[in-house]
Amino acid sequence: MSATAELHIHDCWNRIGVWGRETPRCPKLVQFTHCYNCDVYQAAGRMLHARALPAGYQAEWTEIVASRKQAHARTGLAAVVFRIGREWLAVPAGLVDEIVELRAVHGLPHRSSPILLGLVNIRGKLQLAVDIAELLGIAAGGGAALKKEHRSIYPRMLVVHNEQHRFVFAADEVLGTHRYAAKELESLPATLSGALTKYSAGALRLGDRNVGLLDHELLLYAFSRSLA
Amino acid sequence: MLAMLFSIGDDRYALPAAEVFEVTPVLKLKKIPAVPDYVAGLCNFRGMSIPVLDISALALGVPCRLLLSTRMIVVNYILDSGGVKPLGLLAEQATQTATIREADLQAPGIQAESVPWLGKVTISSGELVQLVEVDELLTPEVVAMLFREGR
Repeated sequence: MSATAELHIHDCWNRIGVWGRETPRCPKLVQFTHCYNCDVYQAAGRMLHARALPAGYQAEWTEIVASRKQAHARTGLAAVVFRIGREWLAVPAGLVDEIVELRAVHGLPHRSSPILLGLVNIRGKLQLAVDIAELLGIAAGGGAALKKEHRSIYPRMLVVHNEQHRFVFAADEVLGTHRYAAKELESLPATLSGALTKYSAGALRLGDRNVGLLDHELLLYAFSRSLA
Repeated sequence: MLAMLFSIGDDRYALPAAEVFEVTPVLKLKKIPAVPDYVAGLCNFRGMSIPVLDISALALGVPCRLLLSTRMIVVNYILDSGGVKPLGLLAEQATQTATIREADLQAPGIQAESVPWLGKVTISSGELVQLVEVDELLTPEVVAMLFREGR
């Protein structure tokens, strides 16, 4: 008897669930929204475990469990990677308090700095919103150029802090947290110039992307100066 | 309390997740002669030799079926001397966890003296689930046999 012949799965999710088009729709969808959340779907998934062990499975696992677990490198660093215009940038993950959806910035009268945009409401507290694209001299937006990658792009706001201040800046997109080892950080060519280079601490390679790691002390110092 | 669910026969049982060290597939075991049937053998767990009990054999006298859903739950067994030793438990349908509220736990009402390791019961997703007390699983004689130190 083959392993598949033992299983009798009623794939209601392919007929009246989210992957099917039959009507009437499954009444449980009202409660669960998606078949992933439904006990019928979950029970069917667990049935896949009610099968005999495949050949070699036990020997393979005996070997895996006999060896010591690979300890994860604790020396790794982490950076939050985001995009401003066409530039992929990163700040140390410890600097970032949270990443929130884009929200309205309330302008401040008589502000003199082009960097300081105004105030933004983060969890009921007003925080200072700054323009990182202006500071780094990058044209923000640029989503159109990336459209060909066929993925959804959501602009976000990053909340960062140092000892004295907390700042919020908008990014065209946040990729997430990336772990790297200190030796992966490449230095920038000395011939480069411009504001972006001034604030960069090095470059990281992330797949086919070159990510500029920002010097967080300089960055936060520049943000603070905009308050003066 | 997060609990690891498993089956003995047709019934559901649970181990507090805090006592679970690791869950692995069923491994190849080295048999030990002249031990009770429910001692399934010894396995090489991360470079340590640990004893493995078959919990179905212990409760019902029927060993666990060899299926993908049958797993080895490695727990920390606390010895009377205060030492902690890893102990493998073979259990069927060990594929799920459930959150059990301490307030929902009830005394089982029945307690056979031969199975002191069966604890309180609760109802999880409509099913009666009984907690297993790891520290009561082994009789002192079996502990002495499995965890003899310094020899």
